[in-house]
Amino acid sequence: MVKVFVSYSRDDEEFVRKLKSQLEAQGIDVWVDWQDIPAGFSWRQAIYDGILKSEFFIPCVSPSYIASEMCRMESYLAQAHNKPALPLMLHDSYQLEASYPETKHLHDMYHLDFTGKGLYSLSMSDEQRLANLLSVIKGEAETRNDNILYIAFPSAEYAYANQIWADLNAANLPSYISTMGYQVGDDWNKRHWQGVRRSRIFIPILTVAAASSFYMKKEVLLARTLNLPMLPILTLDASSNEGHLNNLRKGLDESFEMRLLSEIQWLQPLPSYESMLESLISIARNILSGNERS
Amino acid sequence: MSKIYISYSRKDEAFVRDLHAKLEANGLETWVDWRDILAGYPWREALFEGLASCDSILICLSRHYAESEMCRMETFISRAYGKRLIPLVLDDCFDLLLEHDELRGLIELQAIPYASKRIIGLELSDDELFQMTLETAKGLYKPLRENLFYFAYPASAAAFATKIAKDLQTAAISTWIGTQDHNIGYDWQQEQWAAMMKARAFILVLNEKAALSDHIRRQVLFAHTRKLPMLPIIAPETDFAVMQERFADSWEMRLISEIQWLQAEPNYESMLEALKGLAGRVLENKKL
Repeated sequence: MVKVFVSYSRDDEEFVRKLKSQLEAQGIDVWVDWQDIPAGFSWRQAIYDGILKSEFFIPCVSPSYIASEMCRMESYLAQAHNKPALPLMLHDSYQLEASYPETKHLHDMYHLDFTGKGLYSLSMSDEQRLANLLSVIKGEAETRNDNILYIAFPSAEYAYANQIWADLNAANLPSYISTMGYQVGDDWNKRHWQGVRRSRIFIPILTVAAASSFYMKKEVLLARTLNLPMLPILTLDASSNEGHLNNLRKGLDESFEMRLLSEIQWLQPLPSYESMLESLISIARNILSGNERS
Repeated sequence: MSKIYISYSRKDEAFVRDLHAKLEANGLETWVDWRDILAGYPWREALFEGLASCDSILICLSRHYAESEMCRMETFISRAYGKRLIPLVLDDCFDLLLEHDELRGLIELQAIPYASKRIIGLELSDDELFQMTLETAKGLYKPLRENLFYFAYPASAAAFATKIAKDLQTAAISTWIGTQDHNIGYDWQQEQWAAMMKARAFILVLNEKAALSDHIRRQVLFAHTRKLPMLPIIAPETDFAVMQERFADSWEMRLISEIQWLQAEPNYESMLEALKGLAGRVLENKKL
């Protein structure tokens, strides 16, 4: 039976009780302090043993987790003893996490985000998060690394980008998007970089926010150094609002990474999303089969 | 031998030109912008191609470097391509490294300390700094040995701890100590942990400053959780009373206050002999 150590703050006990029963229902041996410290036993020693004997370390991160010296010590020990961390985010503390030496390694990892806010939380349901956790614990997780298209987007447009991602995959064009297909604990930077390096076509989603998105600029830069063909796609808002479109053009021109996008013909969801998707798919197939774009 | 891309800020050019000349004089192949971009060639593309043609990148970190968008771009591309990073620190710029996402994480990598001229507490001469740069650039990698005796020590006792480590090494006892065994460009914390995981015992070099160090307290805690033998040695000129007082204040250090200590004073040689004897017993799995 796989053993996992759940590290949490008392403030989040309710969440952890539910998680524990869900994991146990799947045959996983969960170490938690309220049941695994025998009376009369040194609790510190019991925690050390709990961490050393477990296969995975599950930190339930929240501001009170980061504030607790005990929680941070557990995080430290799990790292030093080389226990893979599978971080959950209960309440937003991504920035806090980065400012403590015991937790900053978590900052580069994909969390399962239970905060209910932000693209990573909204792109997945609680059931999917639990399934993701279970698949990693049971060693059944499949790493998909067959993408040949890469979708870059400003975070506010995650729903539109997810839709395009799903439609491209459905058309047998294996695509990458940061919000899907990861496993909890993956290094997100490395995953993105490898995703771009594996790709043969790069698809930036453009809206005013794109020009000021740090990550998007870096993705475009990387794609450029790899000489990837780029197929920029406008959002419906950017393609139907003249003012927004002008701001987008201005923003692109101000960034050395993004400037080249303004000289490439864009696709736009007009007259309809379906017609745009159809041309996207046919251009992509053309590029992949080695034909020049017409 | 691998080719090295030199990434630097124009404002640090004097230092970099000098270093570059010495590296090339020692047979190293480098890519530098002032020589390797042809006139009339689009320079940004030339940088991309230069980076792609090199296996490693020498990153000359400084306040100027962190403030330059171009420099940060070079670091970003190298990391995204998975190039080997060789960081040099030219001045006190760690606060700026944290401000830029392209540079975040570099602070975790063991760098060559041209600014502080100290590596994990131990002072280095200019020549030692250059030799370290040259060897790293030539691809030096120090793998972990077996049966390690891991050294934990406060920075103020770095020279003394290094001397003991070298003397044990001469006596064919494997040691791991931060001042000697770190690999440049690797996550120093991960390297420490990997060495700690391989350790057969911890040698704790102690003085009155030891209990104040987070690192030492954590290393003691680690040894305790793995039930590894700990061999404490009191460094010369230690203020004994203050040390004991501070030990009593730390629950981690209390773990070792009941272990018999070795003392360097008055006789270093007899301490070393005693230590070798203890090391021998550890390796034979005998009780100390």
